[in-house]
Amino acid sequence: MSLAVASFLGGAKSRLLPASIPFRFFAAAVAAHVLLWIALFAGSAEVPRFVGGLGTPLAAVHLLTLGMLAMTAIGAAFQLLPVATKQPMASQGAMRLTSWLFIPGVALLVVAMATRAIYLLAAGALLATLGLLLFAGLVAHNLWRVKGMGLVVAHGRAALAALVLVAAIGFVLAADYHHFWGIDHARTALAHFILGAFGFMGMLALGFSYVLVPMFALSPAPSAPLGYGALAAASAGILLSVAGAFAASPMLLLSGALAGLLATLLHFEALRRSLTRRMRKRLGLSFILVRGAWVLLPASLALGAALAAGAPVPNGATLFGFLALFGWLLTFVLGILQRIMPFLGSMHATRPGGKPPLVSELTLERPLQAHAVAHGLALTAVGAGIVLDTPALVAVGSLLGVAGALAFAWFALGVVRRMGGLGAIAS
Amino acid sequence: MQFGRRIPNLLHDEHVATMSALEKLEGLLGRYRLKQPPEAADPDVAAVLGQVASALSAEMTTHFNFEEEVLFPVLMSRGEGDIGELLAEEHAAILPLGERVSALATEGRRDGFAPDAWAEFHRLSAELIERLVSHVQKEELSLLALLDDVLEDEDDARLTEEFLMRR
Repeated sequence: MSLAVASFLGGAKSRLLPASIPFRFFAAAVAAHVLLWIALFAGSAEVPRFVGGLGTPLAAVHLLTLGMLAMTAIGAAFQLLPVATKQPMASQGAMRLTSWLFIPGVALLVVAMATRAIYLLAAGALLATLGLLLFAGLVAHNLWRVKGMGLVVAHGRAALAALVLVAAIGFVLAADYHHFWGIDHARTALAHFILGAFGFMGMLALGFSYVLVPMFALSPAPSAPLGYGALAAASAGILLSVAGAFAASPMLLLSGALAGLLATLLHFEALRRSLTRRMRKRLGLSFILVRGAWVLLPASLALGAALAAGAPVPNGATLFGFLALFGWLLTFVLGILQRIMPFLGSMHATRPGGKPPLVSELTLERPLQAHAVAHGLALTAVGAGIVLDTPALVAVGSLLGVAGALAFAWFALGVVRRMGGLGAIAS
Repeated sequence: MQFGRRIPNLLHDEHVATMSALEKLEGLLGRYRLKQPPEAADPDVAAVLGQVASALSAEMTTHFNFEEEVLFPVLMSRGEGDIGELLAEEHAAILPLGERVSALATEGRRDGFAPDAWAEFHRLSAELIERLVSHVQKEELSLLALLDDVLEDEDDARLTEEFLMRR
C-alpha cells in the first residue's frame, strides 16, 4: 500500500500523458454535469416518483453516471493509474479510441433516452459499451502487471468486474426495447444500478481515496487490514444486493445494505485514523464536498436498508437513488475533480527550466465557492422535492444545480485558460 | 515512528516542524490581509515571525543541502535518480523565496512592517507556503517511503550519522 502513495507524486511528472487525453474526458464530464441538471429540470414533473423507464429523468441519470462519473473516472484512471502503478498504459491510441467510442456513445444514448428513440438507444448503448469495455481492458492490462499496491489494485479489479457486468446488463436492457426478450426491467435495472453505483463507481471511489486522501492531507497510508475489511464487506454487500434485486428478495437486499454499511464504517475508520495524523490541517473547500459525500453514502445505505425492511418512506426508492448518485458519488467526484484538474494542469504547464506554476494560479476560487453553495442547495431542494412529492421543488433544485454546474464549468475553463489554453492542451 | 528506518523518520520530524511553522504563517496571513500589516510588538505575531524566520533559513538550507549532497546521490546509485532530480529542481525554486521571507520576517519582527514590506511578505509567503507544502507532500509520500524501501541497514546508519553531524 505504501508504494501506491509513495510512487505517486515522484513519478507523476515523468508519466504524464499528453494533456489532451485526460482533459478531453474532464471536459466532457464538465459539460455533462451542466446537461444533467438541465435534464433533471426538464423532467422535474416525473422525478419525485421516477423508478425507471425511458424519458428525461433516465437521460439525467445516465448523463450523471456515464457522462459525469464514468467520464471523470476514465480520465482520472488513464492519467493517475500509470503514475501510481509505475506501469504505462498499453497504448495512447487505444485511450483516444476509448474517447471516440464512449463520448459520442453516451451522447447518443442520453438523447435516445430523453426522446425515447429506440434505434438510437441501441446504437448509443453499443458505442458506450464498447468504450467502457476498451477502458476496462486497458486498466486490467495495467493492473495485471503491478507488483505491490495490493489494496488499490484489489479495488480496481473489483471495480472492473462490476463494470463489465454493469455494461453487459445495461446493453441487454437497452437491446430489450428492440427485441422484447421479456426481461423484468425493474429487477434488472435495480441490479444494473447497484453494480454501477456501488460496484464500479463505489469501488473506484474507495480505492482512489486510499491514494488521494493521504496525498492531499499529508497523512500516513490508511490501515490495510481495515481497507481489506471494507473491500470484503463491500463486495459481499454488492453480491447480496444484486442477488436480492434479481430474486426480488427484501431479505437479501437488507443483508446487502447492512454489509454495505459495515464496509462504509471500516472504510471511514481507515481514513479517520489516517486523517487524524495529517500534517496539513487546512484541507480546503474540496474536502468540505468530500466530507459531505461521506455523510451521504451511509445515509443512502441506511435508507436502502430501511426500504428493504419495509419502512414507509415516501418515494423512498427514488430518494435512495438520488442520495447515492447525486448525494454521494457526484459530490465526491466534484470534490476530487476540483483538486486533480489544477494539480495535473500545474504539471502539464511546467516548462523545462521554469518554475512550475502554482496550483492556486490555476484555480479560480470564487466559482468553486459559488458551486459548493449551489450544489448543496440543489441537493437539499431536489431531495425535499422527492420526499414531499413536489415537482416544483425539484425544478428549483435543478436550476440551482445548473447554476452550480455552470460555476464549476467556469472554474474548469479557468484551469484550461491559465494552462495556456486549448493549444497548450492539444500540444 | 512512521517509517521502518531512522533517516526517513528524522526527515519526517523536520517536515512536521516546517508544516507547523507554515500553518502558523498561513494563519497570520489570514488574520492580517495584504494591506493590513500586523503590530510586530504583538507577542503572538512576534512568535510566529520568529518561528518562520528560523524554520525558513538555516533549518531549511541544512535540510535541502543534506538531501542534495548526501541523499540524492545514494538514490541515484540505486537507480532512483528521477525523484532526486525533481526535488532538487523544486529546492532551486523554494530556497530564494524562503530566504527572502525569512529576512522579511526577521526585519518585521525587529522593526515592524511598513505597508510595502508587509505586502511583499504577504505575497511571497503565500507563494512559499504553496510551493513548500507541495514539496513536503512529494517528500513525505514519495521520497521517505522510497528510502524505507531501497536503503540497506548500513546506508541508514551512515546517512543518519551524516544527518545528525550537520545539525
